This record gives sequence, structure tokens and C-alpha cells, in this order.
Amino acid sequence: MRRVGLIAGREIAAYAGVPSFWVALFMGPVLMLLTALAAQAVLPHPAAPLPRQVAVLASDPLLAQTAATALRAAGKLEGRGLILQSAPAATTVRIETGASGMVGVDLSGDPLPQATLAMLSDDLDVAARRERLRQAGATPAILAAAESSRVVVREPPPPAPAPADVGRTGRFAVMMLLWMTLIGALGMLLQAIVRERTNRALESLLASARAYEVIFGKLAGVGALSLLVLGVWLGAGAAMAASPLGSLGGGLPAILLGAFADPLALLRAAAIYVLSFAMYGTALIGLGAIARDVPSAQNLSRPVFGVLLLVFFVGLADFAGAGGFPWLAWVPLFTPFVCLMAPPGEIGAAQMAVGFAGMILATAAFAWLATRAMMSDGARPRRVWVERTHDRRARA
Amino acid sequence: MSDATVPAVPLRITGLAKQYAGGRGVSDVSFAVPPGSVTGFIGANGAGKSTTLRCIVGLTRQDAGQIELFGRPADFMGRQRLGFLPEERGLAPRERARDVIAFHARLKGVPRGKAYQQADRLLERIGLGGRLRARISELSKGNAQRVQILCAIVHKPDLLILDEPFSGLDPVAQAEVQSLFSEYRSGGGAILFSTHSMSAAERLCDQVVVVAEGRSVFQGAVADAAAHAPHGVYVTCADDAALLEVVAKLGGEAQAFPGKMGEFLRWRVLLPKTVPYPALMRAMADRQLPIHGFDPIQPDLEGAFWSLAARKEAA
Repeated sequence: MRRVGLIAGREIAAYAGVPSFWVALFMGPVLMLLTALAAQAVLPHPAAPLPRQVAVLASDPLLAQTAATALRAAGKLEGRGLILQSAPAATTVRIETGASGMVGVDLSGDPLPQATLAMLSDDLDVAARRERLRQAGATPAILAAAESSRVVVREPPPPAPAPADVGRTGRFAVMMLLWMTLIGALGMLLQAIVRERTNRALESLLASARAYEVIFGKLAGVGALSLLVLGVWLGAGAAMAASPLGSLGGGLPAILLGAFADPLALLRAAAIYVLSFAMYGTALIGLGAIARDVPSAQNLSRPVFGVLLLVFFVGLADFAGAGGFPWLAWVPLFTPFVCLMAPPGEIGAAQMAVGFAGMILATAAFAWLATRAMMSDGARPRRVWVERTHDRRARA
Repeated sequence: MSDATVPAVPLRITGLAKQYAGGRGVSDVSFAVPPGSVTGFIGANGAGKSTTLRCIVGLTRQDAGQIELFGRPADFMGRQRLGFLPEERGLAPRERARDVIAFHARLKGVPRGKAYQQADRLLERIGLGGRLRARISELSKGNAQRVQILCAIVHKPDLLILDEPFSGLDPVAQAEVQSLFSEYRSGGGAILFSTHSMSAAERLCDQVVVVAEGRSVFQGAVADAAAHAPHGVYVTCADDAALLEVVAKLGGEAQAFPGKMGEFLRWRVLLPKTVPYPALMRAMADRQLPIHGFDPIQPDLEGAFWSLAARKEAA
């Protein structure tokens, strides 16, 4: 364990001692901020509507005042100001009272919205009735009683703003975060082992430590660095969510942080992250140990990154609503991503346990192969079985 | 040295075999390294020296045979008492000299403070005291190699195993490294080192192990090995056919020696013990053969090596 820690510390020092690591680390948050600022500057903002210019012409000053009040209230609801002016105006509202007490409203110029017209009509109606009642001798108490009568129309509550969609976005964002962190960390791991191979330091290391200690030391060191990257990125995301820029991108930073709000979900995500990093990491270390130089390491690791590309497309398809991917949780290389993408309850506890066990087994198998590759000196071993078979046949 | 009691024999190998495709590897290597001794492990390229050393330090698993370290079958704990300098040397270029030495000490269980103290002392000892914080990439190739040798001895191992420790070092650096080894040995440690250089082996070793084509063909004191040197002469002359005739007439045998002297082949002529060198020279002069080179084989390790290796081939 002590040697694992020492090798991990050496790995951290190897990366942290290079200025480009810190540039890359803070490049993420800086890019995030720049993108948000650019989006704010570039995306079109809805222009504030101009105040409506209306001329109200009425012989009865009471009705003129009522009409003006109604138009102002409707303008507030509409989010548009009102400028009352004498004719000519964009819209002219002419109010006339007939001998029978009927109130007529004539509109000319720009039309008014239906809701504004309805408010205007209602308020004028109420004002005219009140005036007639007053003229008929109704006392203020009667007037108040008459006005207290109200018709209230109850509508069913509007549908909730599709919480499932917000959840899916959050899960997709978490899955992508794992994917991006994994891609970066795996690249570092591959570099770490190929570097030791090419500068021939691996043999000295293996003479002092067991092969699995070297493997897990490197995993721990690069894992710690990738956690630092993840932390800085999430911290930057949290800062953005708390800032006025948090509403950008549909509030993605807030959605992402929301996905981590539940401690159980956080624990599950952490377990998935550790297992997937160990599984893919041991595979990459094995391939790096087989390779003798950088080009062959890149060629050998291509299938692993190909699988990760496939994972990306599966995640994208699932996000787009294609569905039908839960069965992939049985395949260890896909298990972590499918588990993160699946809505609660879609993947049962048993299936998840089997998926996790598969990942652990795959990690053990990859680690065993990696130790074999690491201890190989590149020479082709004698094919004992083939030779023995050949000898047996020769004797026969 | 470490606190553990040093057993009588730090290393004993019996019937070691490790085969690779194409016939490389070792098929039967047996020898022992006595405590406090310097043992030279000599052999031609591809004889199996590095394979044997890799098996000892656990970098390669043998197909057959036993390796005992300090009286017990070799295991990780036993190997923690070894210091190893691999043939393929290299250090991370960005690491600092004292950090990398201390790191190797700590891997072998030396506490942090003591590891750095020891690293500083050793760097001072080889004249790099002023460059403790220098990165490996800032050091010359020879200095980087010396730092790697320090990595092998920093934890004060009981047995030091070195694969070609002097290759790539200039004479001054070689002398410094030899001085380091002497200091190490004076503390009671044993050394096993492989080399092509017979003169280095002769100068430094108490005993040598000669390996040829995957088999150990000799183990013993340098003086005993030298006694195996054959009676003969290295001859270069313009008429090879005439030379072969002369040698045959004297009852000797001639082998073409790898390497030419100018345009002519160099011959290794083995003579019967009863025929002195001047007899061959006289016979060549009688045939009026132009002689370009005539060097009697010295009774030293180099002469013995060829004889021992040839014996293996004949067997």
C-alpha cells in the first residue's frame, strides 16, 4: 500500500510539475465562462414592446376615465405601456352613450388585443350600470352589495413543466461529465505508462515494486488528478449556476448540480466513476505496457476509444428519446454509462449489482493481463506446447 | 546493509532455464555468489547474461531451476534486499536527481527523511552535490547513468546486481563508479555484475562465472579461469592457405577470429603444449609468409574466455 502511495505521488508530481497541466485544468472553466459570455452577447434578446398610443374620446368623463384605467391595466398585463393622448393616435376609442342607456364603443386605427377589449368592455359595463343604479337612487350599500357579486371561473392547473425532461437532461449531463473525465484521464494513463516504457524507467520500478502496485499506483495518481479536474469543472459550473449566467443554456449548470443534490445519487455516481475508471484504466495500462512506443500505444488503444465513442452515441440517442438501451447495462464496458443515463427504477438493483460485479471482474482480468504485459521484456516466449506436440508427433 | 542477518550465500542459482522463441535465453545456468564477494558474470552477446539477471530480480519468470536469495527461495521480500541496475537504463527526464534517488530508496522501505539524506550524501559523493535539484534532462548522459547507479545502491542492499554497469561511461566515470563499488563492498555487500569487458572483470572480481550459449561453463577465481587460457597465438598473414598448412604440420589448429586486421583475416592458432611460439614463427619464415600480426595468447581471462566458450561449442 505504501508503494502504491509512493507511485501515485510520483505520478501526481510528474503531471502537476508541468505548467501545461494547470493551463489545461483552468482552460475548462475559462472556456465555460467565455462561452456563456459570448452566448449572452450573441443570442437575440426579446425587444421591449413600445407603449401603445391610444386616444379616448367620450362625452361622459366618468366613462373616459374608466376606459383609460382599463386600458392601462390591460397594458400592464400585456407588458406594454400606454400613452393616452388626444386624437389623432395609433388607436382611437370613441365612447358614446345612447338615450336608452346603451354604451357604444367604436374603435379605429390599430386593433387592440381581444383581452384588452374584453377588459375595456367589462369595466365600461360595470361603470355604466353603477351610474344608472346611482341615478335610480341606489344607496352606496346597495351598490357595494351589487359589486360584490363576482363570477369566478376555475381552470384546471397548468401541466407541470415536464420534470422528466429536466431529469433526463441532468442524467445526460452527468453521463457526459463522466465520459469527458474518463477520456482525459485515460489519455493521461496511457501517456504515463508509455512514458515509463520509452524512457526505460519501468524496469527499475518493477525491480522495486510489484507489477500490480505499479498499476494501482498509476491509477490512484491519475485518478486523483482527474478528480481535481472534475472538482474544478464542477466548481466552475456551480459558480456559473449561482451567477446571472446560470439561466443560460436552459440552466444547464443548475440542472447538472441538481443531479448531484441527492446524497444517494452522489454516492452511486461516485461508485460508478471509480469502477469505470479502474476498468478502463487497467485496460489502457495493459495496452500501454504492450506497446513499446507512442505510435503503437495509440494504435493499440484505438479500440478502447472506439468503444467510448460508441458509448457517446448511445448516450446521445438515449437523450434524444430513442430508448431501448437498458440491456447494455449487462455489458461491463457500457454498464457505468447506461446506469447513469437510466431513469430511476428502469434498471433494477439486481441488474445493477450484476453490472457492477461484471465491471469488477473485467477490472481484475484487465489488471492481470496488464501485469503480464508489464513483466514481458518484449521477447516472444517459446511456444512450449507447440514444441511438445511437435516432439510427440516426431516420436510417434 | 540492512538490519537482517546476511546469510552465508546471498545468491545461489541451480539449473536455471528460460527459453524464448528462436533459441534465445538460458538452458542450464548454475552458480553462487559468496557473501562480500565481487562476481563477474561474463559471456558474449546473447549468451544469456541479461536473462539470468532478469530472472534473479523477478522481471522474468524462469521455466525451470531454482533461485535462492539469502538462503531462501527467491521472493519479493528477498528481492527487497537487492539493488538492481538494468541493462536498459533510463529515468524520467523531468524528475530531479535527489527526488528520483530518494524515491527508489523509499520504495525499498527507507523512511522519507533518511532517504533524502542518503540521496544528498551519495550525490555529494559523486561530485553532484551542487546539482541536487537538477533535473535528469539537465545532466549529461554519464551523470544520468551515475544517478541511476545511485538509485540501485541508495537503500544499502545486501546484494548488488548490475547489468553492464560500465557501458556508456567514460574512464573517469568508470573509476568513480568502481570507487563507489569498493565503498559498498567494504560495508560487507556482495556484487554480481555482467560485463563484456574482460579487463574490468579481471581487475574487479574475486570470481567469475562464464556463460556461453545459455549455459554456465565455469565458476571460480579469476586466476583459476586464466589457467584455462589455451597455448596459442593470434596470427595475421597475407596467405591464409599457407598458414593453415604450416599450423597443420605443427599439429595445431587454426580458427578464423572475428575481426579483420586491415584486409587480412586474423587467426587464432592453438598449438600443442610441446610446441613453443617461436617454432610457429620459424615455420612461417621458412615458407616466406608475410606476417602482419603475431600475438601470443596471454594466460588471462580473455584467453580463458575464448577457450571456455569454444569448449561449450565443441560439447
